[in-house]
Amino acid sequence: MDIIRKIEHLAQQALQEQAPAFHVADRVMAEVQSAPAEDIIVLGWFGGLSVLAASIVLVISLQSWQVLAHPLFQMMIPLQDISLW
Amino acid sequence: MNDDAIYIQAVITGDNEAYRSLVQKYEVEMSRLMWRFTRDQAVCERLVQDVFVEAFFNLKSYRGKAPFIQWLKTIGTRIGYRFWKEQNKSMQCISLWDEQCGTLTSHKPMLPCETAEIVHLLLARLSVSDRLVLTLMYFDHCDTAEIARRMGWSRAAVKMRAMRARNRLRKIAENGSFLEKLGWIS
Repeated sequence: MDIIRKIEHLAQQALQEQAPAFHVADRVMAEVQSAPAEDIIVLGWFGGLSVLAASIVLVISLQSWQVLAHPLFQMMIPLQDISLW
Repeated sequence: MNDDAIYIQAVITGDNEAYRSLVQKYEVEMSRLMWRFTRDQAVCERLVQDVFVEAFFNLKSYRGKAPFIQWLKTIGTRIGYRFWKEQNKSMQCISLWDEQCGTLTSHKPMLPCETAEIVHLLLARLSVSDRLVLTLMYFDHCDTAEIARRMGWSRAAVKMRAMRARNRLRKIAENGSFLEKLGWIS
C-alpha cells in the first residue's frame, strides 16, 4: 500500500477520536462586553487622523507665518550688496 | 427565518446576550475543528474563544447566504492558520515526533487519540499552507472548492498545494522510516 494511503488510513482512524468539548460561552460574553464599542474605536481613529492632519497644517502655517511676518524682507535682500554712493 | 437568523438579528440590534445562545449551540462543533490545529487543551480552548469573539465583532458582515456554522468554520480555519503561522513549531515538533513514534514500533493496536497525535505531528512537519490543506481534507472532509472558499485562495492553488503537500508528506514519511513502522497496517 502506498504510504499516503496508509497515512490517510491513519487519519480515518484518528477521526474516531473524541475531541474535547470546550464551553466558552461565559468567557466569550465577558470578553465581548468588556471590549470597547465599535463606535468608540471608529471615533478614536477619526480623532487620531484629525489630530495628524491638524499637526501638518500647523507646521506649514508656522513656516508661512514666519515669511508673512516680514513681507518686505525678501525685497530688501538684493539691495544689501549695492553701494548707494 | 431560522433560530440562528433570529439570534443574529437580535445581536445586531444590540442584544448581546442573544449571542450566548449561538455560542452554546456551536461551541462543541468548533472545539472539534480547532482541535485539529493544536493538541494542547488550553490553547485549543483559547482558539475556540477567539473564533466566537472574532465572529461577534464581524457579525454585521455575515449575509446569511450560507449556514452560520459554515461562516464560523471559515473564521475558525483562518484563526487556526494564523495560529500555525505564529507558532514557532520546528524545534518542538522534532522532539515530540521522535517520542511519539515509539508507539508505532510497539505493534499494539493504537487508540484513536494516539493515531490522531501521530497524524498531527506528521502533518506538522509540512509548511503551514500545505498542512492546512491536508488537515482540512483529512479531518474536516473538505474538498478543494471548500478550502478555496474558506481561505480565499483559488481552487487551482488549493489543488496544487494538495499535490505538493502529498509529495512532501511522502518524502517525510519515507525519510523517517515511517513505512516500516506502519507495516502492520493492512
